This record gives sequence, C-alpha cells and structure tokens, in this order.
Amino acid sequence: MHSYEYIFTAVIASAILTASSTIAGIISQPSINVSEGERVKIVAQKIVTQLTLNPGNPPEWGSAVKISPEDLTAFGLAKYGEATRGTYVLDPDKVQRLDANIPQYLYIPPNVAVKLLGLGVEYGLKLEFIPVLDVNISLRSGGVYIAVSSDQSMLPIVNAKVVARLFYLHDGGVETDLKNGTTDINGNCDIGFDRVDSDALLVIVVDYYGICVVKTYTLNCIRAYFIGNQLILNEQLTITGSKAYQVVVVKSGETYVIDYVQCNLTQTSPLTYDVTYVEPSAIALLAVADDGTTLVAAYKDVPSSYGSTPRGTLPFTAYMLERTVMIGGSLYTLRIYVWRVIL
Amino acid sequence: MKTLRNVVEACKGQARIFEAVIASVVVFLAFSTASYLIYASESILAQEAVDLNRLSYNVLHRIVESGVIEETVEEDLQNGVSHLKIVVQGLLPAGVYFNLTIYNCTGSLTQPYSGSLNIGNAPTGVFAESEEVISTSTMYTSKRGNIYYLVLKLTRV
Repeated sequence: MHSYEYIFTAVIASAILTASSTIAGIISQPSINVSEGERVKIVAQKIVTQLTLNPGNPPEWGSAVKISPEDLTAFGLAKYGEATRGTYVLDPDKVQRLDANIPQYLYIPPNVAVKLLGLGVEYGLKLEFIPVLDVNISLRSGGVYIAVSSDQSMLPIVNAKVVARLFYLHDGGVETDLKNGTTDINGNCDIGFDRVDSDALLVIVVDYYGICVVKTYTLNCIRAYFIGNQLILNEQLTITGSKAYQVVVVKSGETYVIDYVQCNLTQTSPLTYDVTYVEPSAIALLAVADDGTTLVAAYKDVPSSYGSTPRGTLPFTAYMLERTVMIGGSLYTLRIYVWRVIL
Repeated sequence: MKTLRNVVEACKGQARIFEAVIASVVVFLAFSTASYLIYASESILAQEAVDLNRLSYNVLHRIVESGVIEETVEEDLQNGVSHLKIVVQGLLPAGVYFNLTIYNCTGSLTQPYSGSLNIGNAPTGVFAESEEVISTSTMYTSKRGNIYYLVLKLTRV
C-alpha cells in the first residue's frame, strides 16, 4: 500500500466512527424514550406500593396532630395498628391531611410528599380518590333521595342496601332518626325524615353485596375537623357541657349499623378540643355549641384529588395506575398519575 | 514511474476498503435495529404484566375481604352471579377484560372441583389472542365453611 492509501483508510475509518455514533444516536432515541416510559411505570408501581402498603414514618403521623410535615421521614398512607394490619387499608386521618382545606399546619403539601417519595423535581404526581359507588344525595320535603350508580359505567346500582341516620339538633340536644331502604331498578332510594330541615348531619351507608360506601351530608351545621383525637374548630365556639357524640359505622352480621357513643371533650386551645377516647370506626363527631343553638359537625373527609398539578392539567405522558383501597369503611379507587417533568 | 498495473492494483485495494466499510455499516444497522425491536417490546410487556398481576391480587383480596362471595354466590343464588360480575367490574379500571372462575372445593376430596362458575366481560377469543394475559389465584374459606378456589385472568383492551 502506498502512503495515500493509508491516509484514505484513516479518513474512511474516521467517517465510519462518526457515522456510527450519529446513527447509534438516531436509532437509540426511540429506545431512550421507551426506557423513560418504562422508568415512569416502574416508579408509579413503587409509589402505589409505598402509598397503599406502607404507613410512613412516624407510622401514626395521620392521627398525631403534633407531627408536622417537617417531621416526616417517610410517606405512606396505610393504616397503622399495633396488633392488626389490613392490606390496602388506608388511614382516614392520613388521607384527611392531604386535603388543602384543613388547617394549614396539618396539611401535607404535595412537594413534601413528592420529596419523601424520592421523586425529586423530575417527576410529577397526582392522586385521585374515587368512591367505588357514586352516591348522590338530594333533599326533598320530608326526606332525601339517594341515587346510587356505578363509578365507571354510571349504570344504576339496583338492590343495594341503604342505611341512613339523621342526627339533628332538637331542644338543645342531639336526636337521631334511623331509616333503611333498598335501591330500586333506577338505583334510587327514597327515605323519609321528619326533621330534615333543621341543623343536621346525615350519614348514609350503601352496601352493594359487600361493596360499601359511607357518605355524610350536612344541613346548616358548623363545619369542623375530626383528626386523630382532636376536634378542630374553624371559629371560636363554646361546646355545651364539653360533650360530643362519635358516629360509628360497624358491620354487624350481614348488615351495616350506624351508631353513636357519647364522649367527653377537653379544651386544649381556643379552637381545639381533645376527645377522651376515639372509637376505631368513628367517622364523625357531633357537638352542640353556643348553649344548644348550634350543631357542630366534624367528619372525616376524603379529598377528591391531591398532587403537584392543578386539577385537570395532566400531561399526556402521565402513566396511570389504579388500586382499590378501604378508607374509613368505604371502598375507593385510588388512581395515581406519575409523569416525567421536562426540565 | 507508475505503470498501468500498479494503478489497477491500487484501485482494487480501495474497492476492498469500500466493501468492508459498507459491510460494517450494514452489520451495525442490522444489529442495532434488531436489538431495539427485541428489547423494547419485551420490556413493555414485562411492565404491563407486573402491573396487571398486582392489580389482580388487589381485586381478589378485596373480593374475599369484603365478603362479596357470601353475599352474591352463597346468598343470592338466582342473581348472585350477575351481581358478582358488576362488583368485579367496579373494582377493575376501565379498559381491562377479566375472567373470574370460582371453583367450589367443599366436600369431596376425590373430586375437589365439584362445581364451578365463570363470569367475565371479555368477548370470545380475547384471552387467546392477547399478547399479555395474567392469571392469579387464591383460596378462600367463607364464613359458612365453604372452600373456594378463585382464578382471575386479566388482559388489557
């Protein structure tokens, strides 16, 4: 070979190397995109497992109101119990603390949750809590209409057992009215109540062959919060007799029962009261305030959504996962969206 | 001074180099494309199957924990199966086909699967044609002492 042939060979080899790297970049781009999509899926699966099966740390962070977002070292929503632990059972207090409407010192901001889940700023996260059965309550004169439909198909749920209990203010105390019914072929159930126009809390349990949804509805009540063993007021009120009623939903045999127990309150600050003992299945707390003229209703509310993006603005690349979870006796579909944020 | 023979020999050498270059590029492209097609699709299917598997166990767990079997299959023999179908459908996300088989294993040890019932929402042939079908199972003893073997198959639309 002559010297110009060596030079030519070197030029060709350089060209091959350059072309190879370019071609490799072009070809592997879809592969990179796929692997990023796969990474999002893996991340989503890890998050859903963490949220539904791990109580977080400290494990009782939901009910211990003294634990602030800064005190959390791990984030999980599973219910924590010393003796028992249910799978896919979430703590209603932890879920409540994801609601932006609660007092701000209790609220866990999404950026804290995202950070504790190890996502950093690279990923976006959104949670949705959707009741498995859609229960709509509308008032009528002397009663309520309850419409039950399937969450997905919106088809009416026929033959579901409905238990409704109205807690209302009467003569400075709390009275109750308990009614039962079954949904008809249109998924409707009409239940009559005499005192539906007064200050009242309505608790409804819909049971469709083991699938249970608990719903609360307030009428002219003062809204408060029931987190852990605390009654947290929005405004300063004087609780009459420092007593309250805990509303509990329990399954007795094959049917659900809505019951209540009286408990004592101890004022710890102008807006907070400690409840002496909290029933494990308590879903609401009722107290009479201002010398029997006002009914205060505190119930455990589940936010419809929580996440690092405003409602309805999800990127199309978001990956979605669903799990069925139990929150405070009700079945919910927990929907998780995870996506990669383009920085 | 170069002869004509030398020039011809030099051209032959360059042609071989070109052949080698073209062959290298072709081989490189072939390997890259093949590896992309094989690994990417395998990875997607693996992740989907993992998620379906977990979802399936989640649904089976909820069915047995909530006492759905007692209230549908055992209590309401007439319409229990259709109610059970609505319940399972409600527990699964949209866009997932399911097939749930419940074997009643109570009683005879020699013929353990004495009776079975089958519910599903999938059109005929979906499970046979789908590339990813997962199957999970669990044993369950109802409050009445009946023993059931539940097999849930899932696939995405």
